[in-house]
Amino acid sequence: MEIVKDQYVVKYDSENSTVVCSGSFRLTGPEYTDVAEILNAAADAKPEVLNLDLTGLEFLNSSGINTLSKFVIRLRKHKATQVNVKGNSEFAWQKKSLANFQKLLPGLVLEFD
Amino acid sequence: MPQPALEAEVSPEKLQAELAALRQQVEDLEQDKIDLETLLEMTTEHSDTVEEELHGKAEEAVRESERRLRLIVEATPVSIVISRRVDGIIVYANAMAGPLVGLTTEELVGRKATDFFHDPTQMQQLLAMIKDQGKVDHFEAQLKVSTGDLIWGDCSLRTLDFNDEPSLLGAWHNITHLKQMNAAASRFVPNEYLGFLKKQSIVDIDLGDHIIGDMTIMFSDIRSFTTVSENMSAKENFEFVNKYLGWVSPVIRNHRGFVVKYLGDGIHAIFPESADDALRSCIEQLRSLNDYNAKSEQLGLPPIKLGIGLNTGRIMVGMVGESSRLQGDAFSDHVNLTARLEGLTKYYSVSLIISVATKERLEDLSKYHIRFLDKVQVKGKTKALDLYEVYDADPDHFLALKKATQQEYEEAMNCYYARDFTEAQTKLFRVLQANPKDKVAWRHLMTATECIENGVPEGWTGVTVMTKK
Repeated sequence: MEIVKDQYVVKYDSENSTVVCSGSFRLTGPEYTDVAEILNAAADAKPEVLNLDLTGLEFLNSSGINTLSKFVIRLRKHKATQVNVKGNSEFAWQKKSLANFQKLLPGLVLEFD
Repeated sequence: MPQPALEAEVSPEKLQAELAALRQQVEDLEQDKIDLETLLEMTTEHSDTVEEELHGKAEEAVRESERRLRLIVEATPVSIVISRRVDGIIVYANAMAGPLVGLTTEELVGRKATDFFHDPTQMQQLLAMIKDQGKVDHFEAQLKVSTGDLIWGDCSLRTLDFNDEPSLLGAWHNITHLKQMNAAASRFVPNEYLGFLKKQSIVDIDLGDHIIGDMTIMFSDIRSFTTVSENMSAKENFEFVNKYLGWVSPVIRNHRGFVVKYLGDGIHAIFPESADDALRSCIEQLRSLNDYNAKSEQLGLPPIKLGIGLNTGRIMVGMVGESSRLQGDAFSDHVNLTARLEGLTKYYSVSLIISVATKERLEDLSKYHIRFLDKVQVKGKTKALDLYEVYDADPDHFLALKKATQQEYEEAMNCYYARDFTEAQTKLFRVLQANPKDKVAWRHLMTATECIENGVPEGWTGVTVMTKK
């Protein structure tokens, strides 16, 4: 499953249980429905390990962080899944905002390039 | 109501289970509440982070664009000055601006822009243009520099707010050298020539540029120059010719004429507008020569005599030569003929000869003193031409005598062409009795006498045929 737009890309690779979000997300709340659909599908597959690759995520607006946070909550509710998030320290905001995912899911592993 | 009975039926196990379910629900709700709070916190924090980051980036972008703009303004070879509109005080000047007026940039800032205008009305003109059009493009203004010298600047103005104050941005370019070059060039190709060829600048002049039209042509020459110059050194000769040309050229210009070329001590000029311009100019040249000669006489110097020929006709004026060496010139048979007329002044001992073509184009003949001169076939021509003498610039007593005898003289010429040579002779005698120095009358008298003594050949028309130039 994937969404490929000029500004951003969301890809879910079910074989490797990897979700990639890259580019610049400047969508409004309702526009995130399609993105959330892919994320939900990834979470609901309940893999043992799920990788969230955000190394190419340049920009994310508030509705975007909200969508990703809900995805993390959904994964927490499934309990069984180990979540690994990969960030990119070049994008300064990621350091602060991605760390907050651990408040929602203390077992989440966060790594920066 | 069966309520008590039902309550009684609920088993402790079921109650336990319900309690557990309720506890779980409360726990879930609490978790949801925590999640929501966390979400809110996260989102807000994220917003702040991103906002801060964007703001920083925007500020950096502004700083970068300002830095870039300043770099451009400082590196540009144009002088840029910003002055406040309220008082004209210069609040910014780039590195080129100070040197334009012989100051450092630091010295320039704080001065009044108006202080640098040589002509204060030019500043007012600029402000009026700003008021009307909101901008000024390529205005040529004269500026006073710190040394007191004057320079020419090409100036463009725009309005802008600088440090929140309504200001004027001026871009100045020093065009003094260009002006000087133009002035120097105009000494070789006069501005009248440019206008005549419908060209803006000497840069636009090309080989072969020309204009064709009906114009009056003038050739003039100092009659006695060889005699005068014999006793002068080369340097004195140069000075004499330049003095003479410098004095006579404005008399041509002032009558809407321009010099096509200088021919040693001679001048070839053109009057594109009217034959009257040409004639008035020639009379003025001759009259002022009389004044010059009066002064020379007092100094014991020989007088200068001028011979001028005027003719009108269709000619072509333009640029000849080769692409790297141009010269203005005029062509046509009329030009050659005019040069011949100038030559004939010596033959007839008159100062100004005009062709019939010029005479016919004069607006009011009564304004001048014009007398028939001769029917002439000049060298190289097959057709005869009526020529006239203009004696307006003759000394007063001579002019009066010519005027008094003009009727008799012209009657004599009519008799002559009617082959009544005896009557012509009688009348010319009378003219010469009154004015013995009338050399033209003498010449005709001699011709008439010859016709009486030797008779005339068949086909005689009375035309004087010139076999020499």
